[in-house]
Amino acid sequence: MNRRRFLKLSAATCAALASLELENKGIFRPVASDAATCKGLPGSLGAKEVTSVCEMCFWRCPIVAKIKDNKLVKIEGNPKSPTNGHRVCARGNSGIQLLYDPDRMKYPMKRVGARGEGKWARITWDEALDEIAHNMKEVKKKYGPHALAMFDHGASAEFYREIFRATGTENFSNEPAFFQCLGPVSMAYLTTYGYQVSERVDMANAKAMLFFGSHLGENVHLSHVREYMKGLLRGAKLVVVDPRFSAAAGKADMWLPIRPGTDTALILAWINYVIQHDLYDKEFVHKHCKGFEQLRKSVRDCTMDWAARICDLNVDDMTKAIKMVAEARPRVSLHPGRHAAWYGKGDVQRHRAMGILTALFGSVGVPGGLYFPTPIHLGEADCLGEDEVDDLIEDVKPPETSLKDGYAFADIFPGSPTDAIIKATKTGKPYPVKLWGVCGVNLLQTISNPYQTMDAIKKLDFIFTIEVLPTEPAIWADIILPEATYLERYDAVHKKGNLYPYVTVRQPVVDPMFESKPPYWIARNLAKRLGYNLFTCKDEREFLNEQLEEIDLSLDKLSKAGGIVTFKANPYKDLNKPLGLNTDSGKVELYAESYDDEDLDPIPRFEPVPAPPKGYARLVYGRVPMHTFSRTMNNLWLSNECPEGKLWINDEIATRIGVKDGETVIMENQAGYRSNPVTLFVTAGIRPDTVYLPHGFGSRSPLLTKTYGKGASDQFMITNYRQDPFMGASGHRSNFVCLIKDGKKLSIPELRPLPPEIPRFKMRKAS
Amino acid sequence: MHSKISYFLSRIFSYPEQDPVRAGLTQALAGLAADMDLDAAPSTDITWDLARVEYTRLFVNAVGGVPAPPYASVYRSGARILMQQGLDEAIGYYRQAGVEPDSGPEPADHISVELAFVARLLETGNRKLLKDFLRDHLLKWYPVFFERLLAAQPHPYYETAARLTRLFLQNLCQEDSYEQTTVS
Ligand code: SF4
Repeated sequence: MNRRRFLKLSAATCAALASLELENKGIFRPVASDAATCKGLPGSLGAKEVTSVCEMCFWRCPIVAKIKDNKLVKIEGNPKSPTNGHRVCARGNSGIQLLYDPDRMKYPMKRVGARGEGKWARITWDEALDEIAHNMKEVKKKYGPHALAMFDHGASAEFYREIFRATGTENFSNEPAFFQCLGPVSMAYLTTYGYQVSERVDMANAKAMLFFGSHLGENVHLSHVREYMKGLLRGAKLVVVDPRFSAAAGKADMWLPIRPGTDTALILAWINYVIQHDLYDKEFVHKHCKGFEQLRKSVRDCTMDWAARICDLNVDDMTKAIKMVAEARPRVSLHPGRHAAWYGKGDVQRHRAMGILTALFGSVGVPGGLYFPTPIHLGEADCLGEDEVDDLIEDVKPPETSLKDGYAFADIFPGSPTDAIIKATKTGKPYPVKLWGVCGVNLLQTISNPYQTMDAIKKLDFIFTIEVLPTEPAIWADIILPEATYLERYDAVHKKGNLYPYVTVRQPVVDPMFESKPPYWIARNLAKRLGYNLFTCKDEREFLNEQLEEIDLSLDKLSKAGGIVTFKANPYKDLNKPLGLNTDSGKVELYAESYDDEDLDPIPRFEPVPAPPKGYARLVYGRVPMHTFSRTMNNLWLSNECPEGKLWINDEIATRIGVKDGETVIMENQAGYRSNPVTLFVTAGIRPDTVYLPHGFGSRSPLLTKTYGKGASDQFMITNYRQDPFMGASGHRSNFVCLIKDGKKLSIPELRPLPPEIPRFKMRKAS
Repeated sequence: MHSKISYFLSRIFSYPEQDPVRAGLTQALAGLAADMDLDAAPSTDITWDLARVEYTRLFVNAVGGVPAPPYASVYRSGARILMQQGLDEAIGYYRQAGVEPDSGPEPADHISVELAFVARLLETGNRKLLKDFLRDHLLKWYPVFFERLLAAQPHPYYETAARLTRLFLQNLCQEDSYEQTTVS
C-alpha cells in the first residue's frame, strides 16, 4: 500500500463524495450536563435501583434492577417482597443476558426467502403493521373471522389476545401453556373445588406432603420451592410417586417408582384404603363433601393388591406410604401438580382422584392443606376496550362446527384446543384456518408432533410472530415483530393473592433497545389499523393508574413504597360454616354430576394407557432449574451452566444393551423419527421401562447461536398424542424410544412384566 | 476530505434507507476503491432490496446467528454481549470530545456511530484524541469484526466497504499519514 496514494483522491471521487448526503454528520451533540457517571465504584455499587417484576419464568418474582450509566448491571430480588425477598433464581439473575443478547430481535422483519428458509429484510414498523393488518382483514373477508388464530403465552400477550378477540374468531387465545400443560389439572380442581387451586397448597405448614410426578426443585418457582423446603425443614414427611428418582424423590421419606400411566389406580386404591380403615376426616366429608357414598361404592374393588400389580409397586410400601400421609391429616399437602397433560385420556380423572383424596384428609382451607386465594380487586381501565370488543363481536356467528366441538367443557376456557387448530389449518376441516399470530410461544418446542405443526404452517396464507428472540417459529414467519423484553416495558398490574398477597408492577428498567417496542404500543398501533377503538389510553401509565386507583394506589405511591404493597391474607376457612364453594353443590364434589351428564365418569375410574411396545422405553421429560422450557436456552450464563439435557436410562438396561454413562446415542421413536445426538446418564434412579429427558433442548433455530443443535429435543420425539375428552388438552407421554449407537439399533429389553390389564402400544409400521 | 470519507463509510455501515446506486454510494465506493488501489470486486450491481437483505443477514439477525455483530461490546469483553466494556470505552471518548450521539435505535458503539465520531474528530482537528480512539479502541475490535464479516462472504459492496474501512483506519492511525489530501 502506497501511503501517498491513499491520500490522493481523483477528482471524480471527490466530486462523488461531495455530492453525497451525509446524514450521519449530525448525530453528535454536546454532552448534556446531567451525564451522570458512577465510575470508580465497582460492580453495582452506586447504581440506581428500579423495582420491577421478573419474567424469566412465569412465577413473576418482584425484583430490583440496578442501573449504572443507563445500563442494567445487576438484578436482585425486591427486599420488600414477602415471597422471595432479596432472592432471585439463576434465571432471574440472568435476565441481563437476555436484554443484551446480540441474537435478540432488533427490528421488524419481513420474510424474503421461502417460508422456513430464514431470509429476511429489515423493514419499518409502518410497513410491518400495515402488512399484518392487511392480511388479517383479507383473511377475515375471504374465509370469515374464525380463519384467524392466535397462539399466545406470557404477560405481554394480553393485548394481542384482545385484538384477536375483536376480530370475532373463536380461536383468539390458544395457549399451549394450557392445552399442553395445565388444562387437565385446572379442569379437575375447578370441578371438585370450584376454583383454580393451581399451586395453592400450604406446604410450609404441612405435616405430610404427597407428590405425583413432581418437578419441584427442578422446576424452580422460587417462593413455592421455599415453602416446600420450609415444610421439610419443619419435619414434614414426604412421599413421592414417580418413575424417576427426581429431585423431590431425593428428599422424600418414601419414593414409589410407579409404572408410568397407572397413578390413578394407586390413588383409587388409597382412597379405598383410607375409607376402609377409617383414615379419613369424617367430619369434613360429612359437612363439606358431596357424593361420599357413591365414591365409597365406586372404589370398593380397588384393592391394594390390584393396584400393586398394575402399578408395579409392593403392597407394604404402598400401605406404609398412605398411612404416613393419612396420619398427618388434615395437614396434608397433596400437591395438585402443574404440568398435567400426560396421556390425554385419563388426565383430568387422575387429578380429580388427587383432589378427592385431599378432601378425604380434610386438607382444605386449613394450614398445611389447600388454601384459598385472597382476592385483590383492581379497577377496570375502560381504555383497554374490553367492553368495546364485547360490542364488536356481539353479532359474530359461531362457526357451524366449532373447533371446541367434541370437548364437553372446552367452552368454559378461552380459545380452542391447539390440536384442533393445527389440524384445521392442515386439512381445512371443519373450516379453514389461514392466518396465525404467535406471541411468546415456541410452537415447535411445545406442541405435540412438531412435524404436523410445520405442515400446517405451510398451508397458511400468513403467519406473524412477536418475539424477543428468534426461536423456531420466527423461521417460519412472514413478518416478525421485535418485542421489548420484560426489562424494557410495562405490563399489567401484578397481584398475587396467595399466602402473602401483594401488588406490584412491571416497569421498564431501561429504554427498549433498537426498535423493539412494548406490547401496548404494538397492540395499539395494530388495533388502529384494523379500525378497532381499543387501547385509547395514551400510554401504559394511564391505564395502570386507573387500575390501581381502586385500591387507593398509583404508580407513584407504589414506587414510594418500594415497588410493592402487601395485604393481609385470608387463606383458611372456618370449617364450622359451609365452605360455599363455586361448585354446582357449593360443596366439594367427590361425585361430579356435570360429568355424568356428558357421559364422562362422575367418579374417576382407572383406564390403562398402552405400555411401551417390545424393544422400546417410554419417554418422559421434565425440567432443569437453570432453564424455563426452551425460552432460556440461548442465555449465555444459563447455557454455560446447563448446555444440554442428558437422557436418563436405567443402569441394568444400560448393562444389557451395552451403553455407558456419558456415551452419546440417538433416539428413534415409535414412528421412526430420530433425535439429535444425546448424552446418556446411566442411573438406578429410573425404571427400566422408562427414559427421561429434560425438556427444551435441541433447538432447531439456527438463529439462536448459543443453543442451536445442543442436546436433543424431547418435543421432536413426541409425535403420538391423544386429546383429553374434557377440554382437548393433548397428552405427551405416549411416545416410546429405542436407542441407536454407532448406527446400530438397540432394543430395550423388558425387565418388568406387564399385567394383562395393560395393553401394549401397537406399532403402526414394523421397524 | 478525510472526514467526508469517514462519514461516507459510516453511512454505508448503517441500514440502507436508500437505494445505494441512486444515492451515489456505489459510485463513490468504486471511486475510492480505485483511488486507494484496493483490489476489489465490482460492487455496483447491488440493488436496494439486495442491500437490505444482505445488511440484515450480516448485521441484524440471521440464520446461524449474525456473523458480524457491528458493536464494539461484542468484541471488547469476554461476555460477547451488548452494552458492555466496548460501549463504556466509546462513550468515554465521545465525552472527552464533549459530545454524545443522539439516542437512536442503535447502541453508541455501533460501527457506523464510531466512524461518524472519527469523521467528527477529523473535522474538528482533534488529532490526539483521534489517535487514542483508534489505537486503544476502534482498531482493537475492528480487525476481529472484519475477519468475521469476510468469513460470511458478504456481497462485494460490503466487502469493499469493509476493506476500505480497514485501510482507511490503519492509515489514519499512523501519524505521518496526516498530510493534506491532494487532489490530482
Ligand atoms: S423463579 Fe426465578 S425466573 Fe422465575 S420469576 Fe422468580 S426469579 Fe424469575
